Amino acid sequence: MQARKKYILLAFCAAWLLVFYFGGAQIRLLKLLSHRKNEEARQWPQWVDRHILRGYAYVDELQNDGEVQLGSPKSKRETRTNIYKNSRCRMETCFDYAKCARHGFKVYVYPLEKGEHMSESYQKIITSIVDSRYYTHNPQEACLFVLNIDTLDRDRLSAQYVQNVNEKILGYPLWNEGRNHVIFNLYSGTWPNYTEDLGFDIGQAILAKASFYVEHFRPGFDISIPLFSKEHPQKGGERGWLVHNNVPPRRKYLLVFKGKRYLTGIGSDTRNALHHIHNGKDIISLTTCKHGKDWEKHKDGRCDKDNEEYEQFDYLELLHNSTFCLVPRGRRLGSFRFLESLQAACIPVLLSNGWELPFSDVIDWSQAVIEGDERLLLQIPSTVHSIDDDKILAFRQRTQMLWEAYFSSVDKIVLTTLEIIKDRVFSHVSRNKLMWNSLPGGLFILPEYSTNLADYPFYYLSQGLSPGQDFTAVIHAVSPLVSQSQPIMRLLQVVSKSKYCSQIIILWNCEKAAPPRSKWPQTPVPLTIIEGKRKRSSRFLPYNIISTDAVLSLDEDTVLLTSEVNFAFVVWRSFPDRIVGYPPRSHFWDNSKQAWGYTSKWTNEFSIVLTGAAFYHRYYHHLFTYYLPATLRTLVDQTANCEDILMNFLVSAVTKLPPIKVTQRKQYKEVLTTQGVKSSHWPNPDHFSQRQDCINAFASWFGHMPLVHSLFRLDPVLFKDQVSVLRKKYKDLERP
Amino acid sequence: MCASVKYSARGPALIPRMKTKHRMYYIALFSVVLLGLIATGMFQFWPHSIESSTDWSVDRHSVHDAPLVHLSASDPIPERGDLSCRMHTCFDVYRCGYNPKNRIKVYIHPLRRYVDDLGAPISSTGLSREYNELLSAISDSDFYTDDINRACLLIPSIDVLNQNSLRIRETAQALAQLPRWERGMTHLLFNMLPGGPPDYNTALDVPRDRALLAGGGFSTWTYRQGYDVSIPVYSPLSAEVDLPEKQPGPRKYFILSSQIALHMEYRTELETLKAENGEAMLILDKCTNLSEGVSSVRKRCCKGQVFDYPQILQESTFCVVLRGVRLGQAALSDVLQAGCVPVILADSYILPFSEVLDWKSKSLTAPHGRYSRFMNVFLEFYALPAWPGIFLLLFLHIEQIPTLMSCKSAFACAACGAVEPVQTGSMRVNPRQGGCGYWQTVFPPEVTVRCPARWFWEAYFRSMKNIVMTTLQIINDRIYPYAARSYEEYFLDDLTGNIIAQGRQNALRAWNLKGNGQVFISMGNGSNVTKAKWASVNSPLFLPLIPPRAPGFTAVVLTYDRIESLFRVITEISKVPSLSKLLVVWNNQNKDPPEESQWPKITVPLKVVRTTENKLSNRFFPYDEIETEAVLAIDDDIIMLTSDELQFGYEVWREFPDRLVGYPGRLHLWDHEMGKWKYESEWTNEVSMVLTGAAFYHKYFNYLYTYKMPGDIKNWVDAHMNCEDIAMNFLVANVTGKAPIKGREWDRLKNKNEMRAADVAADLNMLTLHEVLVTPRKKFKCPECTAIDGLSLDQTHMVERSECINKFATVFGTMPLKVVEHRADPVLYKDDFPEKLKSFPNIGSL
Repeated sequence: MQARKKYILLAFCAAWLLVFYFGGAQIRLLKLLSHRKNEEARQWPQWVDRHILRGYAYVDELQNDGEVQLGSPKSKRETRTNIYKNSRCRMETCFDYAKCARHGFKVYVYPLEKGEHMSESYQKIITSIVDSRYYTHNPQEACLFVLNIDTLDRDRLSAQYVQNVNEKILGYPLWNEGRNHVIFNLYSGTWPNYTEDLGFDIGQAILAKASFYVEHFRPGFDISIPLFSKEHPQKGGERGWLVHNNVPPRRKYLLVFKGKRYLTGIGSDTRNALHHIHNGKDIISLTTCKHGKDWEKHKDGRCDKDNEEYEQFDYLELLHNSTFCLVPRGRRLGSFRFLESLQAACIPVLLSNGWELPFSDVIDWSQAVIEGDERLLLQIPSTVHSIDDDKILAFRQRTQMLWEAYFSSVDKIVLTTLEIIKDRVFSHVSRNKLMWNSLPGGLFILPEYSTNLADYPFYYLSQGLSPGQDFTAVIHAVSPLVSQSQPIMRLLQVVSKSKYCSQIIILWNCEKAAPPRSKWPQTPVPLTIIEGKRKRSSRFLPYNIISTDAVLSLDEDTVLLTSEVNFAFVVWRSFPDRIVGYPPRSHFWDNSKQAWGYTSKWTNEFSIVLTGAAFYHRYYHHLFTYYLPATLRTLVDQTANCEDILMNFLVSAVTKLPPIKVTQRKQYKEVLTTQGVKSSHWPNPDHFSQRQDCINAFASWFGHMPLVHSLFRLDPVLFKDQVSVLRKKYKDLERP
Repeated sequence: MCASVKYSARGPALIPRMKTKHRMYYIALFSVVLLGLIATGMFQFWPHSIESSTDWSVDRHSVHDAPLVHLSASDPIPERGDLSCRMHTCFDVYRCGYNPKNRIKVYIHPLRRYVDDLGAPISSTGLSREYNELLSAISDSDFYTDDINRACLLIPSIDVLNQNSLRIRETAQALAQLPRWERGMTHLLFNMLPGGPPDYNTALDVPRDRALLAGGGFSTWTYRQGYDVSIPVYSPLSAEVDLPEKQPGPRKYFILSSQIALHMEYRTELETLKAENGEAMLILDKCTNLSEGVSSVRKRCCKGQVFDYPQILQESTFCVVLRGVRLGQAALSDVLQAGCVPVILADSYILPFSEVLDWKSKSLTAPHGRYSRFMNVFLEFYALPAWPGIFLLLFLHIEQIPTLMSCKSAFACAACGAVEPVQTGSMRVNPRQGGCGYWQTVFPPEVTVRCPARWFWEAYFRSMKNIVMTTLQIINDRIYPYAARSYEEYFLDDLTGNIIAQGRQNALRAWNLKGNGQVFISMGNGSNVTKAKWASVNSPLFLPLIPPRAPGFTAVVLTYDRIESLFRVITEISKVPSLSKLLVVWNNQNKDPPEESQWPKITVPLKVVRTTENKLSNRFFPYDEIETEAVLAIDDDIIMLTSDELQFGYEVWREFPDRLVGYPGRLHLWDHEMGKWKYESEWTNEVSMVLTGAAFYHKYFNYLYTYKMPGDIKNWVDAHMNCEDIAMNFLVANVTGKAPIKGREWDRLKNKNEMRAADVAADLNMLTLHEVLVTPRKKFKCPECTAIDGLSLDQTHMVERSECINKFATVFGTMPLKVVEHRADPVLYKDDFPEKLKSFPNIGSL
């Protein structure tokens, strides 16, 4: 019995060993597997002879690269120009730079023929160009040409389709194979394939087209524009819908889509699949089969159920309440939905493979939209889920920035197109990508002023810079110099005493000739006199002599203290992109007149600070002179009024923020004026009604009211606090 | 039985005394065990050695040991590259799939030596040093996978960097027989020198089906935008020559041409330019009469004078990079390394990494057609009011080219894209004194600036590793566009690890922003030397929005157990028109909040949140109950703020939604003697912080405070029961780059918050303390010091707050606080105007 036990024990031992033997192998195998998985077991080998490997090229092979050149580069260039034409156009081969050399960037529009039918949208495009600062009516001066033929809708089935375009354009003496022409198009091709055929030969013209397919897009030459509806406003345009930066930034729905489903034909693959991601909770994807006359012919099993569900949701409600909006391709690559969701701050999720996004050469879309892949529709829900709140917050703000900068009106779309072409032609004086992609947007940046970010008031923070520590005072003089006790003399003393003042410029806008330098008092800083030619707008001309970032604009009769100037300047350095000034004014909507009103009454809020005494960045001189149209500046010159309002309009339009008012001691001349004492400055009794008219004229040019109200003023930290005056830096401000 | 016990007690003698049967048994058992052990041991060691001999991971291999592959003439040849390829048509995206890390996986085919029928290799170089470096870099990165089945991008180990050394047809055949070639989809080839005589195509001539190409020298006609990647031509010279970074300052030449293989036509044109511009321009050529043993690639000559290359590049401001037979030139890399501004003259050339790098700000490109006028291009620049920020310091030999530019623009151009040219009044250039020698004053020696052009080289051109990593990152960003990680964050994490990621940078900026882009500048200004680190900032709330008044704000009251005072605060706040909800954070775990019936009756909802720990950071927790953007943080003893003051504070916040808008202001100062930061609570003319005892801010900052506070600041605050407000000020200033806004407050408040230390010690005295503090308002010397008897207590408190500032400044790696001299008041504040017409009459009155 004992023996049996022992043999059992022996067998057990043997079994155990066997298990160990094979089991060990198993464990080892496991180890090997996990080893392979976790570590880079099979890295690229560290060859023993890696140090003696040959270089990929000899240094002299790299340096002598040009030696074997056979043909002359000049003749090669010419050959290339002949080869790369039409569908292979590039600016170098198809664009005549010489045309732009003489007169700069000027755009000519073929004269409109009477009786010629033109769609509303094309009309708007033409109007935008004609109203822009680049327009010329002289084809000899022009650098760019725009046809008078409506080429927007090239769908043969459409009522807007213009026949015989080819014959027409060939008849134009300026056509020149389309060189230096730009052709606008929104719809091309027709059912069922919607090819990108315009139905005529565009030759070497630049194509500005919506729904561009990347393969047809001639990089650096064509321009992709967004699809916009005929209701799209000419000017101004609605602001984005984002008013709150709520956190967490997620909205009621995560992802929505509501739109047509094509049962057949191009684009149907994508749209037919959309219902798969619908979950009725946070992802709403609704499609309807109802479109066209004969939809019931192609109707499939899903249609009735889909249609029913489709009716339960309101498109606008979805747009407002969703974090992401699906923007799938339609028949063509682009859709109205793109701009709609951009405006609604609903981050677009694109399902449109191969779409060259609008203005893609300048706009960095990767920071505003999610580019999905039609092939990977089912991954979209997890993709959008994975995007974190910070990113949503940033993307959402960016949709608004882009919408307002480039898309909210036809004017902006057209101007952006022109500016992109201009940047290509004058590539050495062009905006860089950061300028295009940060506030206030490329249209407000005039590269002729500078291509250095540090010269603009907008990029200090993003570049880790701060504005310069001195200012130039520009005094607007209108009355002749008769005595040494005139206000202007006192003003000169006050301003030149400021430690931040680097120079003073007197803008002589008086009937009499400017007195010589000797008549002016000695000042510790340089004093220059400039002839203003008696034009109000000359106040804001970009004088080369202004070399400081800050400009202090002054009327000759302004009464100020040195410490007021100093304080305002220090404040301006914190808000370099805004106007920082003293006397406030306000605009309001006059319901009875259905027009904008203007008031100088003391109110609790303001939207304008007068430029009779204000700091702003010198770039605004440049913008004022070159960005604003001549008509507005003429209005200012004719009325000899309103230049300050116009400046406020401009700066608020750029920053979308109100100006800043700083402390001012009483006894400012405005006080007197409001009490009815006439200032020699404003002989015109119609002064106020004139200003009212100005506001309305300006608002109509801008297309909206850019002015914004503010409720506060900035005072020195210890202003009127009950602290010893000795402790106060700006004690003069409190003197009665 | 007894015997057996006895035997067993004798232990060792057991076996010999056993019966034979038993002995046999034990021997058998023993041998089985022994055999088993031996067998196991053998198995453990022996097979392993066999496996490892075939394993790739062993490093003792020469490239010549790679297996040989014979190609036959009849092997298939891939199609020529398809020019219409784009990511959505030619790239097999399904292989990449969705993955939580959003990283593509890259596989490298093992090395093979390819020979043709006759045994001749297909490439004269074989595996080159650069390509080996490139593959090693991939293999070391976290893109790498060794599993071909999981890879989304495959890289052949066939070196096609230089087409000169390739046999086109055979190379193509070699590519085609790679496992999973599958018409080239998902394969990536690297090529730097494309084309061959006589036409010199601008893309690799090797037929490659649909493979992606990272090429150096694409023209716009061969570059498939969004598919190919344009890479630089690597210059091995930069690895050999160590060019120390040159300090900013004047450079001897204005324009330099250093390429030796220029076509005669170009050379003639350059010579014409030189004739017009004299000594400012230098045109170098190959040296013909070098002595034996001197490498000609490192020398350049001009009229018998010998210059060292690439060192000479550092002597010039602008360096011309002309196309040769190829568009991409290794010289570009040399030029960038030398910190010289490249003037690239090559029509239709796709600049390296142009998809992400903004070359416009780093170089000057001129269309070829207008080449002969390129000096005019310069002239146009100088006609601008200021120098375009392209790059470097531009100081030239003004005596030599007086017509080129005026002194003024010479100063204006000093910008270097990072530093303002004119720093302080003392450095101001006085035009009346004239002279151009003043440039020294613009940049005093202590100001060091690293120039962007050089930085480009360091980040993207320096080594094969930089080039390949940038390429892969670009492709990765295309496949996972929504996850495109900003390069800046990447950089910050890697280098310093403790700098807070400043919001989400937009990618474009990030690629083009120097990772450690802060410039240290010591601003010497008499006695007031402050060390400032200028960081670039992109606020997370960058859109200029003035939110509507309507939703109002949520007041968050942090309380422990001062019920009476709390109730007074609640009653006071409830009078503010824009209040939408009140949230009481009950920080006392030992005591229950009062019954519902005892709370004051107010018109807005009131919620009580009980916390699990008595921590100061509870105040900044992003409670779900806060549904408005605006949050008013208020202490439970701030009863002196009027409803007008609070409403006005909210209105001001609406205009500054990205700032802290608070009432009591504080300042940080640099203590010269101690050499550190100091906290200042006296009545100063400047403000850099507002206390959060009563402050409006955006709810977003609650998230930042709770989840993104850098370092151990949060724990430090909770442990010390102090400085949570300073921490908040640091956080907001750091992320927005802006100063807080100090509102107008009832002056009594000023002195209150410093009592935090006293707060803890003498809780009960708190209310009386306020009463005490109101009256002696004239004694402003140091209100905190005279406030209560324990003078040392307040000293400690101030010291502690100073310590906080120093500690936080260290953790942030910078002093983000900004000093301002203003505060916000109502438009008509203290104006001589009827009070009843003012919107906020009840402000600051006593």
